[in-house]
Amino acid sequence: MTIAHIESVGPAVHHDPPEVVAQRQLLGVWLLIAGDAVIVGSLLFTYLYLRGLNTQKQWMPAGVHGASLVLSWGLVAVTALSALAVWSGEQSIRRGKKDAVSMALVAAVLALAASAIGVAQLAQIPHALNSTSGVRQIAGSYASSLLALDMSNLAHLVLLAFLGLAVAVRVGRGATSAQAWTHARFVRIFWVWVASAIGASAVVTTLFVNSPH
Amino acid sequence: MTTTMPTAPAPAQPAHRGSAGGGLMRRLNFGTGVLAGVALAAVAWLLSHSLLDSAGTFFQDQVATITFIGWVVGFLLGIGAFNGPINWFRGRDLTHDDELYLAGKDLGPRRYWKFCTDHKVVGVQYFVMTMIVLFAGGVLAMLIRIQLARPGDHFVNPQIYNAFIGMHGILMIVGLIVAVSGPFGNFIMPIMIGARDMAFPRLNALSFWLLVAAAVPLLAVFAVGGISDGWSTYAPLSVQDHVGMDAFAVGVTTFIISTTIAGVNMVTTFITMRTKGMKLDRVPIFTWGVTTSAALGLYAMPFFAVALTLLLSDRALGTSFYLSFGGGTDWLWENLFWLMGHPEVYVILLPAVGAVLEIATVFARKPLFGYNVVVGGMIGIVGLSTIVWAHHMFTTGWAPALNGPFMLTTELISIPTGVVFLALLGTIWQGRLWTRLPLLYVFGFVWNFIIGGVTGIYLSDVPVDNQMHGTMFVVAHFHYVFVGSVLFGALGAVAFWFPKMTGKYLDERMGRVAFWLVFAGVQVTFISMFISGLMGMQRRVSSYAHAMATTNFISTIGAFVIMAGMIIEAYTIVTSWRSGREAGRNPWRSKTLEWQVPTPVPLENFEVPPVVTSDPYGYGEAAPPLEAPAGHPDATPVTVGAAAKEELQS
Repeated sequence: MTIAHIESVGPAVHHDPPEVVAQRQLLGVWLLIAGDAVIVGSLLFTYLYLRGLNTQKQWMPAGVHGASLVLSWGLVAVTALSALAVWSGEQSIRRGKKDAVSMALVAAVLALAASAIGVAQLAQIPHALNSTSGVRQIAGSYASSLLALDMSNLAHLVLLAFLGLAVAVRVGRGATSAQAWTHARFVRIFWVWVASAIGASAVVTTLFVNSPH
Repeated sequence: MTTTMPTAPAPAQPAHRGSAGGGLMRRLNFGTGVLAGVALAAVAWLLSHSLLDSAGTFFQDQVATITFIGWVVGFLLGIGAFNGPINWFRGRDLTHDDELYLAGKDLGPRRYWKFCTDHKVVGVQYFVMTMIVLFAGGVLAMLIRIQLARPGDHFVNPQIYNAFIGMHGILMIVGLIVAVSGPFGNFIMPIMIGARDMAFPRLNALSFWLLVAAAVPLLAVFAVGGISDGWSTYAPLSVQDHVGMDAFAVGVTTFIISTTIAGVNMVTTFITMRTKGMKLDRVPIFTWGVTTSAALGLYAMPFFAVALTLLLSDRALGTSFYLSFGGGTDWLWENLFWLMGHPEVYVILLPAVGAVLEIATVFARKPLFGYNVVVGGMIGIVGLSTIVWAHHMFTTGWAPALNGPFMLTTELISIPTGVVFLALLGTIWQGRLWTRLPLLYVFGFVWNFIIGGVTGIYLSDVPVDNQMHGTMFVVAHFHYVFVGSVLFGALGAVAFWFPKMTGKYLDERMGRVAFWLVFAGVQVTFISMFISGLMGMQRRVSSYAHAMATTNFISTIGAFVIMAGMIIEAYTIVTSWRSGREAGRNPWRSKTLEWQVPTPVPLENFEVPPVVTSDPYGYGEAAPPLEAPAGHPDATPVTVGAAAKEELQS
């Protein structure tokens, strides 16, 4: 029995068609998001787990209060707006409209603004002198978990700002256009994922603050 | 067998925009990477000294972390890993010439020192890197066994011994994770499925050079105090450990990024780049092994990255994830670590199983027994391995009510594993065995895996685990899995695919000497270790009671026999590569696609994409064999029909 015929199927094609490459890249983007989702999920698990345990009543030591909801939800709002701008920019690119560059720039600026909110959140992480270690450090596991989530959000937002700027530059130079818009789509998918992750963080840190124990 | 690969003129390439790397891209290599890495590490060190509070509690850890991150970023920058994103940002996509240059066209041996995107080059790079990492881990194993050759701290003090233990563990884990997937997943798998390259060639190169970048902090661990708590680096001990722990955390996290990227690449390649006719039930089983492993790694490895990042945060930023006085808990570490740790066993094992099954079909001249069941078994292993992690925590006191369910899931996973194992036996059973070196490793795998697997089932049982946890019995169990099974699978893969990768046979005689030494050494070392464990000897101790002296001494002798075998294996690889016997295109008369292309494999593998019309294991269904070649190592089986017969006679 023959196991594998290798036959000619026409002329050699050393580059796959763009739509095939795009499908491949799309799957790659989703897989990267899946890996990223494990990271974000682990951080949320960490938050909820430490809250549930409240080891030595140090989830929120005396004097520590919940994080600013204004900043948390402000971050969500700005990131969501930036995602909207990216989506709109992608539509403009696909239709060949001239406002595509400005929409991508708006998205990048909004991502930078969201990053600034992220920095403000980090600045509010409470520190205290730990009586056991005798060291001034981040006060309790609530603040520690917030720090991890905030830093994760910030890292994502900086990446978004880079991507938004890149799309603007590429559109400006014609590398991304109505004929070649798939990269803008990938950026938009990743952007929406980041906005969702930041939203999930905000929901968890809003609904689950005080430890039940 | 019908094999037609006509040449065809290359069509006009699509227009590419702009110039990509210019001269810079062509000047970057490993040397510039090292220079840039050292330079940026130095800058990071100086900056952190000048900007951070040197009297601060966390100062040393902050400096070490920033410095090692500086090395990683600098190295990647210097070798050209960021050229792609920077050029993409600038809207200057690569030209076709640039792509060919990156793929190493006309670069000769220099391409092995560059950010080369050709999957075959990356495969060879992984191969060499794996040998280096495993050798380093092996040397540490010898040092450990010297210490344990007799009771008492006669060789090194416990602190240094602990460092040996931890670094031996992590180097071997890193080495084994990439041992099969790295060299053969990269070199062989794309050809096997009829692809011209991996889905994302630049990510492929990035995953390899991230591994190199990770190796430096890992090896630097010794220089900055070592680690005291094994490769599992349990918190809170690891929070209090030397600065070496920062190097460890940066190195391992970098490695995890590497494996995650590689996982994305391999899964995407498998799903989207199979050639026409390569249906899921025609894919060679090795490819399934690599892909299921990659998918599992993509899920599992980020847990460890998070665990390590939180550890660094506790050490350098003063958080309290693992410190109970600050509201943290060591159970968090244990959960995150083992959420990675047990799937990681299968991340390591599945490619080796795939390789062994692949070899078995070729050298038994039989179709794979129960192909669909094997694929189902592999997928079952992936699924179940995500819900067994807490069996490592039976004795920790975490959620005792869950001990029963986790015991059940752990025992359940033995079912798909057993199914795959039975399929291997079914493939060998009544085959026309051609006992060349690769098949010897299959036999070794069968023997060792049954011991490693069955003892694993014992340990999944809560009452037994309560007795055995933390003893040398457990160490012997997982060494039978890792050394006895995975390493044998990897060495079998080396023997099998060496002719395709190098064009030369791996020397059969020397290879057999190495095989028997390693095989005998494994039995001597680890059966004695089982006995030490049953006598109650704890793992990770630098000394022990005199009653265990004999079994430990025997283990040490066995370990040196393994090392002797591995040195001979390494010598055989080097000499065969340089001056081995020419192997030709398809020395094993195998039917999978990688053997149908010329050796050395052309840059883009196939002049035209192949079309597959049937499964890859149709052995023995054509002409009857001319002879039963068992016992005649140099004899070639003739079971692939008239074409092969003519080829042999010619």
